[in-house]
Amino acid sequence: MPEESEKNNHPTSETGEPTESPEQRTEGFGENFIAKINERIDAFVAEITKDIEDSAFIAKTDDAKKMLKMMVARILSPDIRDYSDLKEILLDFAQAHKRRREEAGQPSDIDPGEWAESILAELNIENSDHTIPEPPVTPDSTPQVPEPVSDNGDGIEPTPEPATNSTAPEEPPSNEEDDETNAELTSESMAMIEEYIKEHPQFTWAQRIIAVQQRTQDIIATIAVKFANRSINKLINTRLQGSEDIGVVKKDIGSDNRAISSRQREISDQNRERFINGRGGLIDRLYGSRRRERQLNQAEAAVKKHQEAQSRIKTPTDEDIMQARTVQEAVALRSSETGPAEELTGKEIRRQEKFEEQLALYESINISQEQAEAIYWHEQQDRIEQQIDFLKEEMEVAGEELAQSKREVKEIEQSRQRLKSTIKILEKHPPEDNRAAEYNELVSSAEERLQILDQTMEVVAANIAGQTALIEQYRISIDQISFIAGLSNREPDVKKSRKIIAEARKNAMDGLEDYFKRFSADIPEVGVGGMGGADRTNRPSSVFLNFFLSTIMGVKGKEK
Amino acid sequence: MNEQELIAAKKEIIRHMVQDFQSEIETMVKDYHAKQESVLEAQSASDIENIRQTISGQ
Repeated sequence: MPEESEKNNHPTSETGEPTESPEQRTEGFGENFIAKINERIDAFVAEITKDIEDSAFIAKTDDAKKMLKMMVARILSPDIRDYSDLKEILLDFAQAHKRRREEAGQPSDIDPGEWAESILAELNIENSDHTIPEPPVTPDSTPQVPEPVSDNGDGIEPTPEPATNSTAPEEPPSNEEDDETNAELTSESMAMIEEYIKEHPQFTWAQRIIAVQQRTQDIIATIAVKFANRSINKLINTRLQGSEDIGVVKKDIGSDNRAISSRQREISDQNRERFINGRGGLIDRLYGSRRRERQLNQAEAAVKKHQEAQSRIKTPTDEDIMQARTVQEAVALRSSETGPAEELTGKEIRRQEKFEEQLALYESINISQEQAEAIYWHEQQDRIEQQIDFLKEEMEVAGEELAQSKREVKEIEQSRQRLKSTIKILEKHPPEDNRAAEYNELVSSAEERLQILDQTMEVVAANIAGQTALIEQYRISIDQISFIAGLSNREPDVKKSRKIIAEARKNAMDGLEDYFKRFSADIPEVGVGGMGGADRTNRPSSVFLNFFLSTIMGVKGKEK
Repeated sequence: MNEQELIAAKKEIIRHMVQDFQSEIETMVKDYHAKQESVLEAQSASDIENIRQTISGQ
């Protein structure tokens, strides 16, 4: 643990392994004491984690291992000489242990200070006299610290591997079958261990423990294999059961299908019999009057829609072209007096009057003829674009109606095919002699309905042709208007007109300023509302101001 | 405290430390295996449930 390494003044290598200088070792310990302790620690960790490949877990054990090595090196330092030194190390060790438990989500309730003192008390090391008696621990009295294998020649008893319960066979899953298996295996393993010990009386406790640990590992592996095999068998049995279930379901479905087919044949026979006997009527049930009425209504509605659409078609040649004419053409119309006023249409007269009114307004604010034309052309272009948008929407509606008509055709065609099939059925099942008249009547009825469907089909087909023509007309209209408006090839003119409009706005501002100066004495405030009641003979009208502000200045409301 | 007593005390403390360390690592390993076992059991149960649902057409 890093915290411990900071408190430890011993140098460490890059991997955290403690290094020591000869003078840092406590005299009395063998040269290789620390190396042997570390080797034992490494061997223990490697053995117990040999089956674990989880890098996070390995990192945790490595941290704990490094910390322990540092503690060992630290406690062997010549600087550690009395009760307080030893307690401090034990305290650090306990705190590190507690911290790791907390990090693992298993907090320990051990108090590090009490624990350190208890260890020292166990060793009969007291703070008062600093006397350290002989360690009371003997191999016989402490089974978990058995006799050493040897002293390795360094005079220090190596720390043996303690036998713990942690290497006992793992508890199997908690169901009765697993419990029985586990008990059986545990009993078997214990017997094997006892037998092993009896067969090797010459071994030391440490050798026995190591052997038992290895044996236990083997038994655990055996248990694991048995559990795995049983899980696989369960899985296979489940799959087999599932396959059998599927087979049963398939048989049921086959049986149901046969029952359904039988019932269908039965119903078919009943229908034929009812038809032959004149009860009910197959045709009426299949193609009843309500359905026929609905089809006729749909056809009638389609024709009506087509007629309405035809009436909505706008030919661009007259009105639209007139709307798209430039101011110059309108001026020419006015100045050339091409014809008496009574020969112009009402719309043309109103448009001409409007233009003249606007032109007068432009002139009153020093807008040139060219500028006025550009402004008017710009307005007209907006209107044309709106007209094109309208035509596009209309064309879209016509397209939807066309699709609906095509769907109707498909439905009618299906009805015709069914009706033809019905007539064939009727012909294949001639009636008894006493039912001939009724039979002939039904056949005639079917043929009559077939004829109605054919007629409906023709109407819908005509409707489709009309809708297609309508869409084509819309497309042509859009092309014509677009051409007239110059949307496709007059972009430079648009830019030019906008430039002219910008200049016109500037001139208009200048003119308006002069205008206001001239009439400022009579104008209480400047604004649309304030100008509304001005004298029309010598002041700008509200119409003009609204037009000026909204069209030329690009503002609305009471903005100045 | 003479040098011999100090050496004996240090050896015992190291023995305690190593022993506690081993117990701690063994506990960690045991917990790890138990956790892995429970995860495998849960996965196995999930697999079986999936197969059941597949068979029953759910």
